[in-house]
Amino acid sequence: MSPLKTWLVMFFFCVFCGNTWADIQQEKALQAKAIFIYNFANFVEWPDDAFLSTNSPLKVCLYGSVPFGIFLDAVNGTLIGQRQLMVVRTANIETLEDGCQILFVGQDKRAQLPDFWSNIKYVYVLSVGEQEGFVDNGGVINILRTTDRVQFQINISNALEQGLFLSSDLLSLAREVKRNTTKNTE
Amino acid sequence: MQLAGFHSHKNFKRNKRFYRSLRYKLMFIIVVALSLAMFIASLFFVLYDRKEAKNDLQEHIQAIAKITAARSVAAMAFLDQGVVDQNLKALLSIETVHMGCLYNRTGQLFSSVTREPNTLIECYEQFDKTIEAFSEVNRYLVVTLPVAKKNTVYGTLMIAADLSQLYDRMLNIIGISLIVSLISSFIAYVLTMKLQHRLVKPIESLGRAADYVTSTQDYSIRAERISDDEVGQLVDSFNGMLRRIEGAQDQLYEMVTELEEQGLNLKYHAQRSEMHREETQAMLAAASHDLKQPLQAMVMFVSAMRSEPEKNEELIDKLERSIENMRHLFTDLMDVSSLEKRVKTKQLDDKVSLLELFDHLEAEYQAVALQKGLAFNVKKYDATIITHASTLQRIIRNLLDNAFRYTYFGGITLACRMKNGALCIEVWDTGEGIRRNVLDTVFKEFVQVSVDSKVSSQGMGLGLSIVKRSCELLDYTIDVKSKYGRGSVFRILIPLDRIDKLPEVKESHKENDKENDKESDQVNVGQPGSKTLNLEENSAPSSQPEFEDGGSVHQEDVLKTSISAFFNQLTNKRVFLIDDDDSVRDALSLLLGQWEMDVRVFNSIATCMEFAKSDADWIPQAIVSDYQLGDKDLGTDLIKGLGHFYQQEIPALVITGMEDEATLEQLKHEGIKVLRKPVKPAKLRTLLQNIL
Repeated sequence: MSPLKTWLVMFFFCVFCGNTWADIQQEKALQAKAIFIYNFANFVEWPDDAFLSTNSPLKVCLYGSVPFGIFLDAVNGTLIGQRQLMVVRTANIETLEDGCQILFVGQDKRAQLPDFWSNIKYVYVLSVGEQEGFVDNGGVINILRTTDRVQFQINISNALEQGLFLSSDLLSLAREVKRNTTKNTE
Repeated sequence: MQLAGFHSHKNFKRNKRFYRSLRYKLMFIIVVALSLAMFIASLFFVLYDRKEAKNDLQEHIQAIAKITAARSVAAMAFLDQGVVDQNLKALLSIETVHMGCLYNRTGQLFSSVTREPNTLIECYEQFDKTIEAFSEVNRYLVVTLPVAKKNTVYGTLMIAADLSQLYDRMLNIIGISLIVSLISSFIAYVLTMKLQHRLVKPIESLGRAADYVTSTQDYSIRAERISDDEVGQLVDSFNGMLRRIEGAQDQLYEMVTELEEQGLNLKYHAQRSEMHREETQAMLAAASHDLKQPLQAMVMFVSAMRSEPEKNEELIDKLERSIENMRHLFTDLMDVSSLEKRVKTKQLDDKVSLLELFDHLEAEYQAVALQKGLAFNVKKYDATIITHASTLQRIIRNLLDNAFRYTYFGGITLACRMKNGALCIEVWDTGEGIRRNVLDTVFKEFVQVSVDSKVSSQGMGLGLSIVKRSCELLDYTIDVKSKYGRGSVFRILIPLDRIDKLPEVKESHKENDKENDKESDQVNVGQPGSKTLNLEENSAPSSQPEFEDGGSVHQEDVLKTSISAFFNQLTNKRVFLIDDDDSVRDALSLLLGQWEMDVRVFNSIATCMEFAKSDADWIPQAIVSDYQLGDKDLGTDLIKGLGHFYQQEIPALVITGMEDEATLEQLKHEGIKVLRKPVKPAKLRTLLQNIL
């Protein structure tokens, strides 16, 4: 074989391996995100007004394309406290108008984001995102991804505005806890 | 009554063993009981404490676990290793926590912390049981707790706590319990040592008292009551028993005394009867012997009269004299036998004036004396006695006849005087005298003594025996003193109670007597100028005569020697006797005198106290007193008074005829013995022996 061929073979192999390795890592990250969403449901308190009735489920809305959605399906229907967890995936904004306790906006709907929050005047929504500045623009929790870990930021003022009670444990685990100052709300 | 309150330790082997044994038992009981109690208490306490401590620790660790779990749940949820590690590290700040392990949802060890790694216990790599539990593993308490939020379990927390501290604590407590037990036991031991005394001492004391009573047989001892408990009651019972025994013993003594006296009496009477029988026989023998002679003479005279009728006148005279002799003898015999009868029916109450009698006899015998060429003196005494007149006469006559018969020169004296407190009639003669070796037999065998006499013996044997018998019947003492070749004196002693009247005697009665006694046996016999008949070389009245007494007739002396030593306990003991009743006083003083006690007799409290003051050295050893002395005086007052005077308590006996129970009780209470009238000699004697 010519050296070039060897190099090519190895290159593609590496890419393949790298891809595989990367895939594994990717999957892990998605899994972690899913776990986080689930955990948020556990560590955040919604007041009774957030629900239609005492039997109403705890809705986790995934708006747009959410890759880790399949992992959340595993916990769909489990009990969080007294309520059932309900995972709702939709691309339609109207569906959201029924009310979500947790809302995750996929990447494809990112562009809509700045207006999005002004459009949705719901309260009691735990908004979770995964991009820079998410919490600065009205989001409550932002999931960050570092080299080996998944972490999150919390904007407590936004949380309070939404009428949510965040567990102190949760807050203590956040990488960053932000507050809204007068500058930010402009 | 003595108390046996001994405080010295006697070396009875039996006692020592007994002493140790009881004390040992007490100690044993107390120490064992205490030890057992302490052991049980300690054991219980130790076990209880251990359980409690373990429970406490468990609760403690469980609480810690809960707190840690709560703190860690978020971290576990979000898999934040750092926070989890930190939380677990915080566990080590608790001393007893040795190790903490946190497992994730799948049971894998997520984080752990260990104080000092050792091989006994370490975190498992895998732990699936998410339950709340605790267990003991290798001296570690292991608590597991699920880490959960709401319904979601994120992992399991396991904490292991070191139980060794618990064990140390338990050992500590055991140690302390042991020490405390030992100290308590020691204290108990010491206390018991001191206090067992109080239990054992009364028992010991009782034991000693019992031993003493057994060894000395003195039942008047009483044991001392030391404590007020069952032992005290035992002492009371014991004393009660002794009292009974003492009472029984006293009764026994009384009975024995009475029996002895009765025995003596019977012996005496038997001997007397025997003697009388012998006497009677002898008398008969003598009578037949004496009567033979006149009869013989009469036979001879009659035959002479037949053969020599010319001498009839002379012979008839002689015959008459013989008849006269026989008549006398018969009369004497008859009179003696009738006297016996009279004594039995107590017809002895003639009042005889000795003065008159002596005058009469003087007149009568003066002639005889003149005829024989002998001197005859009569020493008169103006006394009157109560007796059988003719018998008294016969006695004196017989003695005089005897004296005249056997005296060839010198003279005869008939005297009457007081000697040694008794009235006596004496017949002195300077006749043949009687040899010492036959003196005893003079009265006993009625033998005619003079073998080499010139005078024909004419019934002297019978005569003397009659004298003796008569004296006996009249209750006189007769005695004889004699020196062979020099002379004799026959003396009759008349007891005081037969005396009706005495010549006027001054108060210093005794002095007179003493004077009398001094001249005693130097009586002038014979014609004036003849030598005095001095029969007693030593003229001190109470000394023994040189000659032995012959035929002293008081038989009781012979029998007294058979009284056992038991009865001599009263000899020479000094006693006061007080009674206002003369007869009782006399009778009692006689009785006490018989028992050879040194008696002082008084008729009133005043005379008694007078004596006490005058002779303070003569301290009585006992007081016998009537209860009622005079109108107002009481015997008890006298006893108390004497007690004060002599500064000591004198044992006393009170004689009373009273039946008043209250007074008798009070007397008993004061420790004075009481005797009811009439007094039984046996009882009096026993009581006196008791109190002395």
